[in-house]
Amino acid sequence: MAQLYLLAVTLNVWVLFAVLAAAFGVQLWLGEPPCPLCVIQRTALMLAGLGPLHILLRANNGMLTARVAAVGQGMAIVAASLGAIAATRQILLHILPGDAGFGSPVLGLHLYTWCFIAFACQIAASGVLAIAAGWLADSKVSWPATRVTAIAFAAIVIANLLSVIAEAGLHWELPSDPVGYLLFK
Amino acid sequence: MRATNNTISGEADVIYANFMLLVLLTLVAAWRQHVLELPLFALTVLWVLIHLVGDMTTPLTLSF
Repeated sequence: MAQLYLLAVTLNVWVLFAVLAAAFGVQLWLGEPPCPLCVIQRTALMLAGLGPLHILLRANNGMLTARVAAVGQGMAIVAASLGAIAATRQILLHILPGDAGFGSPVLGLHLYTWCFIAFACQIAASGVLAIAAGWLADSKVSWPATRVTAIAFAAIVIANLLSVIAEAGLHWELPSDPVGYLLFK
Repeated sequence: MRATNNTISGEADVIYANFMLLVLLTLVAAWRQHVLELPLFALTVLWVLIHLVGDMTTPLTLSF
């Protein structure tokens, strides 16, 4: 059961990594720097990833317990709720008829709408995994994927940090509708 | 028509780099099982939430 739980938690982190990487892909390939609300949503995605990472890292360094799982899933639910609020805020900004929305749509939906779907799925997944934690027996497990998962997640956090610094540059304000990287202007 | 107000308006937007720096610090704390992991997580969530609520209670200037 512990191995299965850690597999689910690891997949959770990699799905969040994939969502963040996809957002980065849109930013770089379509040349669309994220707006401030988009950055908030990315921050919430990263915070949501810290929940399952909490479980992986605690299990890697000690015991996998129901308490550790509950704390990690709680972190993910809180962060995903925060992200859902930000995504809803941006959806509502562009909900009126005639508004083309912000940025280019991907598969028919704007990134903030995809973000809302991702946050809703994260809340549901964390809820299910929190329930499943009730069947966890305290156990010391070996899970080799923890290190590479944590390193990959740290890399995407650092990449986003550098991206925001490049976007805001040495200017105090980040434009609401950014079109470039102020650091290089 | 495109709305242009996608921001938490007017404030020091350098703040976004600080959010991500805090996420990174929280991750490092989690890695080292440091006691500051959860306080850092809570601080980041609260700071972002306060920032967001500030934006949501600011009058909109959409270009409708």
